Amino acid sequence: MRATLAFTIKEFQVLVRDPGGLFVLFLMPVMFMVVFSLALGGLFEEGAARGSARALEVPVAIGGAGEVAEQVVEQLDATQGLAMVREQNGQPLTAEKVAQLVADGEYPVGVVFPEGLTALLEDPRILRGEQVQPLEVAVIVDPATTAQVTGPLEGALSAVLQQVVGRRLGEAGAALWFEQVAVGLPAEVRERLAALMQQGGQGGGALPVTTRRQVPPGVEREQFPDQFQQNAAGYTVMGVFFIATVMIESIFVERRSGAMRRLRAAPVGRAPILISKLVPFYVVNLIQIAIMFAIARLAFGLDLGFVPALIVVSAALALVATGLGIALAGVARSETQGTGLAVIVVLTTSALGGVMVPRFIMPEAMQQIGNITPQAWAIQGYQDVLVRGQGLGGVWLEAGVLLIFAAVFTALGIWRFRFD
Amino acid sequence: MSSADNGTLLRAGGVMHRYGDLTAVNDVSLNVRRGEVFGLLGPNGAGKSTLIGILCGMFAPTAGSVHLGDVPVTPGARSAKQRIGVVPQDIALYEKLSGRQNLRFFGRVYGLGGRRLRERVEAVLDVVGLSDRGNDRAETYSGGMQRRLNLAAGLLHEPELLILDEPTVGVDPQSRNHIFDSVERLNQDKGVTIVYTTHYMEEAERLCDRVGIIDHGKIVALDTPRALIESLGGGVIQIGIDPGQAEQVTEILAALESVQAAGPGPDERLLNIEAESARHALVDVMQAMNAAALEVETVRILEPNLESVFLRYTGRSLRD
Ligand SMILES: Nc1ncnc2c1ncn2[C@@H]1O[C@H](COP(=O)(O)OP(=O)(O)O)[C@@H](O)[C@H]1O
Ligand SMILES: [Mg+2]
Repeated sequence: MRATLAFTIKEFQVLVRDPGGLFVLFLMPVMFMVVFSLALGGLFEEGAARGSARALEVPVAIGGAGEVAEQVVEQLDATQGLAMVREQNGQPLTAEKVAQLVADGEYPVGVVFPEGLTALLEDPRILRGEQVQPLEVAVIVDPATTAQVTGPLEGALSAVLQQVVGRRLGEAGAALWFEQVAVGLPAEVRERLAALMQQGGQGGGALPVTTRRQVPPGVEREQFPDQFQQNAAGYTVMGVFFIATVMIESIFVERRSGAMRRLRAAPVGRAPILISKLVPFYVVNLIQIAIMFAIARLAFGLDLGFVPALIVVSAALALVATGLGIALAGVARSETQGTGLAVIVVLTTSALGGVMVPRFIMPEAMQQIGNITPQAWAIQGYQDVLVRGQGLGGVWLEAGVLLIFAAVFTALGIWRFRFD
Repeated sequence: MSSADNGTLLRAGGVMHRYGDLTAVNDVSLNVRRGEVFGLLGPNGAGKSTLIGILCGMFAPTAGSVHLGDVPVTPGARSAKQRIGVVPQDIALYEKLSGRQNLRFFGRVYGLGGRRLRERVEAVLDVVGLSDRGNDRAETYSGGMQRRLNLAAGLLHEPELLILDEPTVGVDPQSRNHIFDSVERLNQDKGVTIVYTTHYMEEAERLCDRVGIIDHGKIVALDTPRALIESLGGGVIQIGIDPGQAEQVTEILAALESVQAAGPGPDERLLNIEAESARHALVDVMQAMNAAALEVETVRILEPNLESVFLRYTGRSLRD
């Protein structure tokens, strides 16, 4: 126990005294995340600009949503870069038809207005300030489309909805106000109405209409990461695995060192040495993950969701990474071979696991192959939290699979570990 | 040089070690007595480090056994290893760590902790004269200072047997004297038994109670330095001859009045000639050889020191 502590302290001291290698380890994933997020952010705007030349055609189903929906569609149609498609072959589009068109890949995105939208806004309960079940305007998205394509539509839609619905509520509130003023209402009701009018005028506050992304029925997946969610999760996962190169170097340097000769004469087994080659790097990984998410939060405003769930995924992920490091060190014949192998393995599995490009846009076969990489499970775990807003219950499967990876790698590493 | 307790502390029996086809240690048996300074003198590649590695349980021999008292010394024998201190030939330190950090680490590895660890770290720093540099990184030390720290790390747990592998190689004279003094003090004041390997005969003569001369993995002679040197007699001349004429030459030279004995040297091309006075005998030897028309290929006069003892047994110089 004392020896294990001695080795672990020593390993930390060596790491702290020679932070060069670690610096790269910390910097690299941050750079990837920042550069790619900014690069995709650029694309995002560029996509909107390009839209002015060639408008994005969007099928829309108005159905029984009424006059409010008509107004929204009109305004969207007038928006630069958007062209709303209301009918096909002279027939107005239905909700089913819009879903069909998107599912068939004819349009990347469609809009379906809910039945009774206009009626809801005239519901007296709203004017009394009571809670009503909000209606959802569905944005039907092709999973193969990225945020760069759908972004401009979604942005415009929520802005126009706010404006149109807000103005409606304001007008309704004002009408009610003037009607009731003669009667003389209690101050409490007047205040509420005033607030309602103000809200309508500003177009802010909680509207009884929301938008929701969804895929056409029968197509899997519901929520898609934006570029920050994708890059924060992806490059955190990739960066964590590069600990393997640092571990391999540390293990080979230790083996080569004169100190090893003295240690072989000392009354210690290999367990303390082995543990000291795992624990400090595990801690480094956790710090690395914390830095990545802190930067994503502070610099990009990423919503971290339920943090304990992120921690559970991170704890399991870091175990896989240190396990991979010790396994590769055990397999490699030399330091150069080991670090080279680590870079190849990490980059390949990261690509397959959906670090650089989200897996949902990969061909089916590649998605299947990706399932055997720990990166895929880790990213899915993170995105369950970041994108899908899930808690602990949503990540236990991913964390469990990661623990299996960790157990297999670590067992292989311990079995092959030599210190001479 | 040391107390007269002659009980055996470390015993090696029939120790062999092979690296592939190379036999680095060849059937070595020796006893190290409690309280003595035991030297292993041999040139580079003689097998000293390999033998030492086996003596302290770094690795298992191909054949043979080592005992510390009654306890077998093997790589897994923790209690035996706990009683042995090792100062490896190569600097066995973490360069990035300070002297104190290194010592604290090795102290903990040997089971020290708390106040005792702190006291021992300061004590050994004092022994090797590095107290004021203890907080500097080991990589900033001079070669001699690194050697001293290397020595200190072997002393932390107060071993009863200290094994030093060429502790003075590449060391400035000041550090070398410091190391000598430390070794002598440990042996005389603390009663630590010491095994000391070197390829410098002066060190073996100065420090060691007994010296084993090792070459090609074999102990070729083992005794006190004085006895080894006296075995040379008044002097030894080593001449190189044609192996086919060895018998004839031996006969002629043995008959000379100034020669006490003539016999085969370390190999068939060499003949050892012992004489009361090597210089006088040399003249007679050369005349006799000349008269018999026998060729003398090389001539060496062996001075009365361990270098000569080594030459006598191996036909080679320690400093090849
Ligand atoms: N790890 C090793 N693998 C192969 N050969 C070795 C190894 N270590 C030492 N040797 C060889 O064994 C012989 C004895 O080496 P060593 O014990 O280091 O001698 P010394 O310490 O007396 O210089 C040398 O010929 C050396 O080349
Ligand atoms: Mg050696």
